[in-house]
Amino acid sequence: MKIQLPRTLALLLLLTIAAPLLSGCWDQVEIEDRALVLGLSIDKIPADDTQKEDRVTHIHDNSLPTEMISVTAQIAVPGRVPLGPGTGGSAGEGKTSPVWVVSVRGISLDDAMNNLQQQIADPRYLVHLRIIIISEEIARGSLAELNDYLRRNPEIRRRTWLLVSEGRASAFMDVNPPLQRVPTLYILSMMEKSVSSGKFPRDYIGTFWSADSRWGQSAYLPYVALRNKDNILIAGLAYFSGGRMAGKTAPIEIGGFMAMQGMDPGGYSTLLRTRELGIVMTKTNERFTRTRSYIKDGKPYLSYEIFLEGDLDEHYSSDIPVNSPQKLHEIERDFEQQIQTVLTGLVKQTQQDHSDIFGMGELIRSHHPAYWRKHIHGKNDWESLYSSVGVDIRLTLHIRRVGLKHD
Amino acid sequence: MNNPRQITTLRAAAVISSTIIGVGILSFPRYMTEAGNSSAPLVAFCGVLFSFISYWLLASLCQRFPQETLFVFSRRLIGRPLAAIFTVVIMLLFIVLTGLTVRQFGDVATTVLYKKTPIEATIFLMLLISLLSSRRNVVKFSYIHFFYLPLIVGSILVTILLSLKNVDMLNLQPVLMAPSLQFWKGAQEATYLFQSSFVIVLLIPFMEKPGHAVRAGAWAIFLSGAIYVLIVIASVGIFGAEETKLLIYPTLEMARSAAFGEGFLERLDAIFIIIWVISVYTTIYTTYYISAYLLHKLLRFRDQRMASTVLLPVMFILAMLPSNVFESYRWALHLGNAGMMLMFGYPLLLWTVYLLRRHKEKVTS
Repeated sequence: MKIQLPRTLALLLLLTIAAPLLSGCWDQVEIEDRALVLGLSIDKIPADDTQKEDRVTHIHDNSLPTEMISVTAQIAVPGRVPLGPGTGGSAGEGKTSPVWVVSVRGISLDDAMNNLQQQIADPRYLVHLRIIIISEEIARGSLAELNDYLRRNPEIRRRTWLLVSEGRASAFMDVNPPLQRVPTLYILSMMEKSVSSGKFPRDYIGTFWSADSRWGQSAYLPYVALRNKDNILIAGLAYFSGGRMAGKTAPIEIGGFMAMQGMDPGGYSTLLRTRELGIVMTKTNERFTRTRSYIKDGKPYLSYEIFLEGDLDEHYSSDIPVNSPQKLHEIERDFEQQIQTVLTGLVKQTQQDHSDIFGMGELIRSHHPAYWRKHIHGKNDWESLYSSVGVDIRLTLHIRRVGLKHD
Repeated sequence: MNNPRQITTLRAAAVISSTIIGVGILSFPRYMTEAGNSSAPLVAFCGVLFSFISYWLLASLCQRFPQETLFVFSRRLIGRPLAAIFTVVIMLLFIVLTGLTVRQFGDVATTVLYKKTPIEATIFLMLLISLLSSRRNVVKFSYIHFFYLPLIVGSILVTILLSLKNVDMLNLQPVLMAPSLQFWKGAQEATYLFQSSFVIVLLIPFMEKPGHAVRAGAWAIFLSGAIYVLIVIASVGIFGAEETKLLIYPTLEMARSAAFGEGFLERLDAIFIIIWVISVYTTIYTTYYISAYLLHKLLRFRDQRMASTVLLPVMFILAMLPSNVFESYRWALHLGNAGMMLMFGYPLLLWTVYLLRRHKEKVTS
């Protein structure tokens, strides 16, 4: 007994110490008490707007940047975000919006998020953030600050979408599409579906960051525009050079870009005028690309062999029937010639802007390491060399089917 | 229960591999990429080979004394005082290693999981669990490891497999690189993770077939080595070398972006983190156990239970010493460096003495 007593005491003491530690849940926050941010939009504040900042994170702004950003956040209102398709009853109460749109300004994104926190009661959480839209103005400035904050923050995931908008980004936070009750979730499903239908590459913020860090590749982002107030158009690729947006492409050039990269499935249709058969439309279903790189006279050269498989979608002026393999071959030949000029034009355009969105530098780096080590000592080196790279594109289209109409 | 030799070769291998897979798994790809860029998997592979050589040196010596642990037969080889000094140094190494490992665990947990939970609480609880389980004997120790290993290996493999589909082969080329100073430094840093394979020293006297110690270690080091190399391949393949260098925990980032189906099952990082906590526990458990065992041998306690209780505050204080993340990583690297010299040099010394003595015996007889 006498030996047992101190042991029991020690055990009891241990248990009393352990009890609060094991049961204590410091981080518990009920879901109703969280302000879940679903989407963010970031705009630059026009220079003539001189409204003072709220001074939540600093007192004197003499030594800080004078340019400010305006951040608009879509916060989910607890209990109002519908979990499934709305039933007949809930459609009537559509006046109560499932999201709360809050707009704040700040010098940096983090500063703006702190200002936001100062204005709303519940602690904000970015864990469910799926869409960030930045205006073209922001993208044309440096993205380094945004990237730093978003990379550092453990709540942000690499599967978030970062979009560049034509015009003001905050307009996207106010759209009210009929297909989904939460606007950002609509934008999200739009992007996800465009990926699965071959309209856009899988270009999450993580993909963007990886491309941005690589020496032999420049990053690109989806470029979106608003049409008719509520419709969102994927208007092209916003491509970057030296961490800043350098230009944008036309929507059809997304298809061209995906063809160069051999990304499946094919999702773009092409309207073209053939020499003998009038205007036709072809639909691309599959893409396959073989890439070769070589060094000739101390300059990198790349050759792309693109194989497309498609269908004849429409024959616009059907005086001459398309009813034989020869006719299909004619369409294929004309398509190849015309799209080849489109692709060459796209490459020329990005070369002028020093933006290697195709990752040609990565090919050189991995296949010609000796050349790479000798000539490239940073991302800048490649981006300036990129404009003088020789690119040779060969395109082959195979039209397999013509639909249900025989001639 | 009377038979002390209860640890099978398979179970010994399980102890070693679950010990090796631990806290370092999260930042490992970054170290490898800093050393080798796209050749990071090669650097990691060389590290695994070196670790095995170092392990072989130790285990093959211990095999020759199947009845005793290293600390007992070293007394006969190099004399009591010198053996005691080395034992103290090894003990200190493992005490500090435990402290720093648990600190790195606390840092990750606070950054990623529990932002408001004080780091002291996470660290203390982890040490407390290790303390409680360190009071058991070696056989139970091996059973605990054997129980957790499939969980750890299985879930890490699932995460890697899910991520492999996003790997871009271009990121992994060129595979080979000219062995430069940086390359060897990276390979050396990789061996730090394998230092706890030292635990075989405790297991040999309890193994069913002590002669299989090298074999057990070979299985263990190549299993955990394969996992480490795969992790490097996956994260460099997904992110590219330059991006991997920017991430403080590339493996965690990889788990965070892994998805099963398109958005069908996302956020696998929650499961990954839980498993990672278990793998950290098995690592800390081993280093804690070694420290407690050595202390009990040095101070001649009846068993290591008292010793493990004494160690708790020491380790807790050590864990609280580094003032920031960078400092704890730097200390861990320095410790790894010291550990490598000790883990390689000490067996080498013992081997030399052993061979000299055997030679002398042969000559005299």
